[in-house]
Amino acid sequence: MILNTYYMKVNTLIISLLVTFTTFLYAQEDSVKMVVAKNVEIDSSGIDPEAQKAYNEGITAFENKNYTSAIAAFSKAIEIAPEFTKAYSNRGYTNIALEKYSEAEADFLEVISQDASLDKIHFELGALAEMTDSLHKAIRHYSNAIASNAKEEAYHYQRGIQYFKLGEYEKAKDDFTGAILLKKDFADAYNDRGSANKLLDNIQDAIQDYRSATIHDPQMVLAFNNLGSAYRLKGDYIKAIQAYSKAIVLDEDNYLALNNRGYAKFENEDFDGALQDFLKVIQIKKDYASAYNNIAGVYLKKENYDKAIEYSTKAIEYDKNLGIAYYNRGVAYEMNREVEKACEDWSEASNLGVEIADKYFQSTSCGNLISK
Amino acid sequence: MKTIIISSIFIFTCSFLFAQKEITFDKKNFKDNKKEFKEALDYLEEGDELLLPNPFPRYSQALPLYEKAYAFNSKSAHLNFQLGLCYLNTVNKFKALDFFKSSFELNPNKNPDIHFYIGRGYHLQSDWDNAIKHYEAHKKRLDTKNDLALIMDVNKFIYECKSGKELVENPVRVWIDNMGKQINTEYPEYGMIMTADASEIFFTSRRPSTTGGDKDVMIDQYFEDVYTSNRFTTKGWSPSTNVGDPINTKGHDAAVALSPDGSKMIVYIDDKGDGNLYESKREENEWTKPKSFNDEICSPYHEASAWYSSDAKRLFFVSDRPLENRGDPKDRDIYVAFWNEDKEEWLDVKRLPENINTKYDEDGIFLHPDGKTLYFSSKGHNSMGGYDIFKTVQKEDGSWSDPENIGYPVNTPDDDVFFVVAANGRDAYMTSYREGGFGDKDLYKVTFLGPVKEPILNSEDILLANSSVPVRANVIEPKVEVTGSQLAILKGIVRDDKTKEPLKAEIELVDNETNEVIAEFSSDAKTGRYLVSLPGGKNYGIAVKAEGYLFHSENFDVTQDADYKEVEKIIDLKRVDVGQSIVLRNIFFDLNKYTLRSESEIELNRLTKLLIENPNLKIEISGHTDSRGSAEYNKELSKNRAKTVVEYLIEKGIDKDRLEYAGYGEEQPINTDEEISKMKLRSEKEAAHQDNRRTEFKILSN
Repeated sequence: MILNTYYMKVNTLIISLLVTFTTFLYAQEDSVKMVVAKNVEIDSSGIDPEAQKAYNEGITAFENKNYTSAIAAFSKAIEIAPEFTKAYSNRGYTNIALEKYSEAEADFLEVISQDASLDKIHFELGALAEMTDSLHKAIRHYSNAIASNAKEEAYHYQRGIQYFKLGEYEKAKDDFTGAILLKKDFADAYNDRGSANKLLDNIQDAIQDYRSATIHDPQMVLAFNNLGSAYRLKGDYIKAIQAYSKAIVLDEDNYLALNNRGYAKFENEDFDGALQDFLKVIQIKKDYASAYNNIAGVYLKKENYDKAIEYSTKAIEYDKNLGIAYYNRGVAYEMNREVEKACEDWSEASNLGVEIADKYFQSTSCGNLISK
Repeated sequence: MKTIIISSIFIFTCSFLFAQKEITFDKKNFKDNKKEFKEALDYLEEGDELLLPNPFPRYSQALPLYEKAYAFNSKSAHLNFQLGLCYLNTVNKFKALDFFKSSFELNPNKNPDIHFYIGRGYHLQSDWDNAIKHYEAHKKRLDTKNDLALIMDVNKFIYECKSGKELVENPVRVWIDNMGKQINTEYPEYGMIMTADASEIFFTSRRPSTTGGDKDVMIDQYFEDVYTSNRFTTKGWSPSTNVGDPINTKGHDAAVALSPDGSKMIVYIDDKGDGNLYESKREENEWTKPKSFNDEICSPYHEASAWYSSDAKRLFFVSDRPLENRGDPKDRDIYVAFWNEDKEEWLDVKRLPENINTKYDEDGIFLHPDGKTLYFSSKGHNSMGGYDIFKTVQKEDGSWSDPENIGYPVNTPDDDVFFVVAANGRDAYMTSYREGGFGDKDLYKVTFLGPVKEPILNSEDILLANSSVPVRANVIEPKVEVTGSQLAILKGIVRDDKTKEPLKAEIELVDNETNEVIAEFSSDAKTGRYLVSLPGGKNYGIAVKAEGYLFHSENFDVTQDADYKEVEKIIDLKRVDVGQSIVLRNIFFDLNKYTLRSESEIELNRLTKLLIENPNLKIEISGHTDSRGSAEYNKELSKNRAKTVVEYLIEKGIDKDRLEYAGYGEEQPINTDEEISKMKLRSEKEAAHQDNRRTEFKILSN
């Protein structure tokens, strides 16, 4: 999923880069060899014309999505003129289009070896590293991009994401701030800084950031949802429910926001309201284990232990590693006076990392009730 | 002033609204049925006679007579009052209120203390507000100078109602289940005692099967006898049986206390009219004739409740002996006596401090197998009525925490006594009279569920704007107040390794930190059964020894905050024969080193003693590791460790020609890696690895 997302993103970048070059060159050239000349730009002075021709053919092939021909043409240009930097970079983009990432990386590295000041190429290398989850490598490349050009908000933003993924939230926060300083209405950066603040337990700052994100992008469903979750963490359930509701108005099938609103209602002791939301979630997404688990939680509160067992069992069917579903079912079994079954579930939950289940396993003397 | 006005209005309203016409037991009221009247009057008068204070009021005997009279005429204020009194003083206490109320409605002036009794009726029904109103009304008619003691009594009841109101608003989560037909009958069952693991119980009952089959004519009930049941081989309780002679006699015999392993029982015998405690021991699964405790325990006053500490070094008991510096009327207090090893008797009796013993009675003590939690009944503290059960914990410095009422619904406005708690801290047992029981008092199991186990819900967010993958929020688990006990129970059977016949063996409990023997127990010669309670906070070395056998050693590290654990172990003792080997569980080395730690001393001395007593023994000491780490390293380490043990023995004077050593590393595991990988719990896996790390000795020749 992540790879697909980045693939789409890089494709978009390639296209935008090529468009930028094209637009720029139209302004400088007016000869009959316009297509070729417009594509060779500053290299035109010292590059072999044959190489320039092959290069321009490569661009045409790329625009026609004939990537194999584009690779051949760019390679020919490089063969004729090994110092032809742009041929390497365009071959790199074409390799990305062909999902040949290691070849693309080699091309971009060649470009950098010829000219280390090309920030966009550092950036592309960072994006490539991200695609293979090489987070530290990505950070290195984005840092190089920033060193070459500190005014590009995307560089800060992307590096911030890598720090975030590494759990280095303070550094992530600094980078998101850097991006926001360069682009005051950068809604994504506000959202992501909010998430960094949330994970740093700076809930009030997180709320501020999520709110800014929704102000700069009033259609940003995810930011409304995250705002709701921050309010919920703060214990302000009414505002949480309002924020989730805005996300749901924008996207009525957003099962995450619905599930989260149900959770907020549950915390606000509106168990019927919570149940309604959770039930709607499983209508939208039938295999969403968390919602089944949450329905079980509501039934535990309502002391309907049979239903709690039914729904936690469904949660386990959809996600056998959902430790809290075993925990909840164990609680329901205990209240139904089926203590041995409760012990078995708490044992499973404990193995899946739910520490409290281990405590209950011990305090219920489960070790003496179930066979080891 | 405002209270008084409200009370007056309330009483007036009651009188007005419910006023009925009284029909006294007067022949002029029953001219048309003289014969029936005569019969009913006889019942009434007979009942009244039984309620006279001398020798003492016999409520249960009077009750059926009054009921017959009531069937003829239910409109007598006097009869209603007398019925209320009978119910108030027998098992169906809840029924008293209606009769007191009727008496008041029929004739508000019949009994000057009627508001007190109506208050008692409401009190027993946990109707706190109405009870307080009637107690206040009763107080109004008392003289503040001449009736000071009575006013204090009523104030105590009012305080109980206020306590009850608070306690009922915050009930403890328990299941209360009748122990079932194997234990309970239509006759009274009460005063249950049990082994620490609650596998064997004893209790008092008044059944037709009582020894001699006679009734106590004073109360028209069978004489008390001690009965027993167990669940050694079945999941449920075995049918209860009379324990017979010599515990039970033709008179009253009541079980008072049991040692945690069930090897000693304390019984109550009202031998000289003052009530005393006797001890019986179980030898070859038979109880010995009960023997009176010494005068330190059995004073000329009344002693009726007692309990052993798990190490058998302390004896807690209740006595109404007067206090030295208080010419107080007798009230029951809790005392503790200490076992004097040299004189082999209980001495140095001390009264528990004032924060435990109140000016009201304390009774029904039970010391939990953790050795520090004392349960007792008291009419003082914040009791909600009569005796309530309280809990206090002895702190590190020896002082006792302020008692905590164990709460409603275990405690009720009536007397709550005879409460025992299993080692797991979750299961308890009590005596109660409840609707739906088998009749009269029954034994009930109380399961403490602890605080509510809150459900854990789950939420997910997409935290990053350019990611489509939801991130599951860290699950915040609810805080947990663990209610279990911090101790371990080791129990099982000691047998001969070859014949599998039960063996009597001495079980020595050592504190490995101080190298002191802290307690000694023995297994039963006939059943081989043993039970050792291991309170948290110590590393225990356990040696099981019998003559002609190699000793068996176990090690248990029970941390201060350890959760309750019950370990059942069959210990097969091996004869001192060639080829036999045993694991020395209490030999310790520093991590990754082969230096002996001081805690190993007792085990090594035990081994030295064995070699001295068997001068022809030639042995091999072997070291074993678990499978973690490199095989080569493990082998070298185990060899060096075995060598260190041999060097210790040589230093202690054992001929080096009798000793060999070997290091097997991970080659001879008790639990294979495959077996460990199939285990469910991490703790189990760690214990299995721990089992594999060991020092063994094997007899090479004898």
